[in-house]
Amino acid sequence: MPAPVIEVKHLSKAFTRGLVKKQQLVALEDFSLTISADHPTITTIAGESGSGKTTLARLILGLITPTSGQVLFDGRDVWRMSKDEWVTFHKEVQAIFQDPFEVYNPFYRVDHVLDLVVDNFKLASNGTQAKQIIREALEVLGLRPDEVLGKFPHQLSGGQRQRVMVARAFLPKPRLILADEPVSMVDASLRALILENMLRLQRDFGISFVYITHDLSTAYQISDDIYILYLGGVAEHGDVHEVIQNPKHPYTQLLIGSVPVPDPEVTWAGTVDLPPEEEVREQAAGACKFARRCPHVKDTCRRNPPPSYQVGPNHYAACFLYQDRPLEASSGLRIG
Amino acid sequence: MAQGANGRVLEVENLRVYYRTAAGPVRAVDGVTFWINKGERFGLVGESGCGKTTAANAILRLIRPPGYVQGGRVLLSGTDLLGLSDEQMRETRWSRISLIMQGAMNSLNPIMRVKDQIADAIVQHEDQPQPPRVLDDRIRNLLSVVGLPSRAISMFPHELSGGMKQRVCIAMAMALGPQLIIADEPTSALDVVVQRVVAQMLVDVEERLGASLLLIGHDMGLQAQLVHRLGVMYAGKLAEVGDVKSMFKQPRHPYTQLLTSSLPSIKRRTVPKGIPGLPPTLVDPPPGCLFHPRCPFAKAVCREVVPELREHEPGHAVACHLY
Repeated sequence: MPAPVIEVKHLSKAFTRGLVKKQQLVALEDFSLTISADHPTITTIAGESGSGKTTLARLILGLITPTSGQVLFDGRDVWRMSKDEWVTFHKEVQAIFQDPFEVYNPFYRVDHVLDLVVDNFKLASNGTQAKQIIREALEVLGLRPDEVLGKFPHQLSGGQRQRVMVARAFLPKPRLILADEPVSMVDASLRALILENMLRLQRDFGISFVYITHDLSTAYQISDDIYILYLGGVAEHGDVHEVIQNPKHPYTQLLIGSVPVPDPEVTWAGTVDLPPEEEVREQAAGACKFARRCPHVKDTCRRNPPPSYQVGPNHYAACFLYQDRPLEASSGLRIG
Repeated sequence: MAQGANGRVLEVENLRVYYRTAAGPVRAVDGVTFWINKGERFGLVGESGCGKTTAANAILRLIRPPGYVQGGRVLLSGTDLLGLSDEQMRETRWSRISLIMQGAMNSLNPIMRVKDQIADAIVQHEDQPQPPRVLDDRIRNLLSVVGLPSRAISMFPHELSGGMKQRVCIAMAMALGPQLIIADEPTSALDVVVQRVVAQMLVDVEERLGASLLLIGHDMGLQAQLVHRLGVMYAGKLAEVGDVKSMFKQPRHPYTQLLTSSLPSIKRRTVPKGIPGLPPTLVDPPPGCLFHPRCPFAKAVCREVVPELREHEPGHAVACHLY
């Protein structure tokens, strides 16, 4: 069996702030994930702001160093790679970010970002070939090269800008694209186009995606597996259909119940209370992170962090409500 | 304060707002007519660039050059706001109409405590000065209505989370008991749970004041949850207006039909089809119905004649030649 494209093992990241009185903020805690090389998948990392999803993206891309744990690309630790391996890693793992405008230098034509990729990874042996593969990549994403090339970023619509970014990520034919909120800044109809693009790249070109979002509806539409993050920890994960239609963790239930349904006949049930954020962070140490807000909270929840229990064939929830179920295999290690 | 003779708090008649550009005027809002009844929540939706925010700004007379109001009337309880002097309009704003802007939380002054910002809004728009203690009590009361702890009163904006800041803005918007609150994408920068809390708070505040609400946004889910009546805008014009339930159950305009069928949902696991094509340029709009280049049902007449917004059945108006 080939090594997974990306294997994330017990990854944690804490940020330190303060010069004299140092405070630690745990942004991500003991996160594990495997992106198999067998068949292309779309895996969603979902969470609200402050849940650690962007920290995870930066860790996977090797932009920041983990406090503990490992990120393996093709079986090799990204922080112990040779220079050549590092280049290969960055060719095969591409990224798309939220704001398609920030990525462009406004003084250069759009072609520039695409040319850079071709040059950096030596994708073409001459200029004509370079032009050719750029045009092909744009066409795969449903863009007309003549409408895009030679323009400045401000001359493109938001949707075009973002699709050029998808084309840029697709150019080196990577094995994995990490997409951090790629559709949160575009309109509904363009959002659909970009999601279709992602599905097409998965289906026709065998590219896997890690899709980072706060939007559960689009996650449900395109992904295979989903991880729900809450304050840096995984609350629930597994098959996306199971998690969305049959959520087990009270936090996931709250999230899904809060998505406004586009149907005036289906209204929000009940009201929710939001405790002050600092209180939530404070009491999280040594307890279930969700205990302060949980409607089912028990004594145990305030004293111990819950391990991950298996609640279905490919469905796991870190919640004591399911303590009669078997523990998730990999999480058994850390139960003291 | 009394409302208009017909029980309507706001009436917008044939409002036109254009922007001057080198290529000619951009018709951002072009002949928009709608009204809001007392105590009613009215939603205005559309893609970005459809003119919904421009319409809201015109109601508040906040259009700045190169934009200008080309024509139309905006009646607040019978008073035409477009005819008021700048001073009269300044008095009207906040005390009779208030605004919660998109990302309003970022409009809080970073070096002023919450208390001082709210006090500022009250003092600026009320004639009689109030003793500090009375003002303090009022602010504390406002904050508790929007569910903020009373210690928030002496905090700075950076000490508050996004949802809390947005609630401070709601507290400011209700401070003077306006008849109409205009909320432009009030929750678009917030997480889903916080969005729900803030949206429910907004409805609660609106009902408590007996005010009306104009909710501007692109999120059909949020509109479905909050408003009574809904208007759909396309390229500066209203395509359809009606009761929110019939708008979702039986949308008449092909644009509304495509819009409601392309909604992402956690009930359905397919990527919804987007609406093919792009909105027209408003400098040189196509002749006839502005939607015809994207419309699956376009007929010859649609390419020539601009459809009027007409009542198709009581309480439901549509601008389309199919009806």
